[in-house]
Amino acid sequence: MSTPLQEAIAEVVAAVAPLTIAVAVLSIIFLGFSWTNLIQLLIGAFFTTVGLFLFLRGTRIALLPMGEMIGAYLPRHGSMALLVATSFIFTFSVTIADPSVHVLVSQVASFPDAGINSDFLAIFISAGMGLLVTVAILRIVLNVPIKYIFLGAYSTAIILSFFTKPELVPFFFDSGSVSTGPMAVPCIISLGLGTASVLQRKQSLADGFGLVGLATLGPILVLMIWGVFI
Amino acid sequence: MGEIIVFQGFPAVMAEVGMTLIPLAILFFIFQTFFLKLPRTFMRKVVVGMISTFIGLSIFLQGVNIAFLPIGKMLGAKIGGLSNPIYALPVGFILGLLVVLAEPSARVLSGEVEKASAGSIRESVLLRTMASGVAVLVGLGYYFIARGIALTWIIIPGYIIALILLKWVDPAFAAIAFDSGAVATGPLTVTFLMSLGLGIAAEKLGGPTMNAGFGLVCLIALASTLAVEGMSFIFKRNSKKEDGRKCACQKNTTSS
Repeated sequence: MSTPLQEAIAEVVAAVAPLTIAVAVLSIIFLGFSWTNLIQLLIGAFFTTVGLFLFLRGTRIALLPMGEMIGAYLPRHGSMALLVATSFIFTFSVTIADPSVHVLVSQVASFPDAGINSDFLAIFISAGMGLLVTVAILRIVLNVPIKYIFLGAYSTAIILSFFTKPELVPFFFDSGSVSTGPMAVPCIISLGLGTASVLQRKQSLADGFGLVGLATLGPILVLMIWGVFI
Repeated sequence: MGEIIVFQGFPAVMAEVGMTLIPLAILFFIFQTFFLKLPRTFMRKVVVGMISTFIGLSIFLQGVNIAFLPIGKMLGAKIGGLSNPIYALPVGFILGLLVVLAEPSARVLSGEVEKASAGSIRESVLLRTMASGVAVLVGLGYYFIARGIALTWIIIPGYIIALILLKWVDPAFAAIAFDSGAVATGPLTVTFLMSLGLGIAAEKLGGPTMNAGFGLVCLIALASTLAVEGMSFIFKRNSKKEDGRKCACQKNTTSS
């Protein structure tokens, strides 16, 4: 007998608790026992739990229905130009607000000597996501096999990795995986499913998947191209 | 860490979060006025949801900033300072296991794969494959960082293999494989894994550099992708066997 509210709380606790315990154990092993550390960790864990809960609730109430409606509206009423523009702007907006992107940017801000402006970083990452999600949405509409797109995009990333700043390559790849966080993923999927549902083709299963996987490539490609010039 | 920090720096976090939510609010406002024109009650829900998102995101980031980031860095510095880099291996292994097993989205994805394979790949099997794959790669990743080797040397060959495998992977699975990589990494695990890696690298290289600390999150993605691709071969083999079995009985029912 569990209400949706209890389920939501359980989900968030299940996400935070194991890591908190692991961090506590690791810090006792490696750093020695300290009340200050443990209390600090508990306060932080409490904050992240409450924060994640409120965040996910807000996303479910406001953003997911929004993504689905926009996704379903576009192919029916809009022109191709509207579809492209909106996919890009919507993805850009949800990515720049994603908690994982915030964390990445704050990590990079602790490397002032790396020559990366952290304000630009968030904008580049979000623009990259917007770009590739737009490509992925166009792929659904134009019915291009997803394998070719994966192959093209990942090969480009691998080739670019030889020309961009070598010491930043791991960071670029990270930024791709990081950007698909708890805000961006559900929104992008709802946008894609909204688009696919209106088109009503047979292989809708394959249509719905792949969007997020492609989206990760966006930040990688944009940052790598940027890395060629800095 | 000298004293306990609770709300220090919170206003700055709120301001930052507020700024990043502005594009979304504008976008929806435009869509509402010009295209969708949804009823008032729905709009009220959207506004409440946006406020909840704003407060939640701010509190979450504050928690990350006061606890998980600094403790991760301290741990990393300690592990990086150990004489033998091999200690980084088990730490990474355990954290890798945790990432997959604790991440709700990894479970959701495994459920999707079970559905897509019509039950031939069980959720628990995929979850275990992913968990072991991620554990091994993250363990190796920390070991590389502790030795001062850039993770590029795992990432690039790994993706080349993943691309070559695409040739034989079923299209539905190809999409799921690359999605799984992106989905398996939640905000909290990302935070902690990364700060630990950066801590090790900073200690090892004698100061903060971006050289060797990054790449771990991408390794998680890579491991999940390879795990799902591997699973698709097992699925193929199983379904071929079943086709063979079905053929005999289906001859009678082809007309229907």
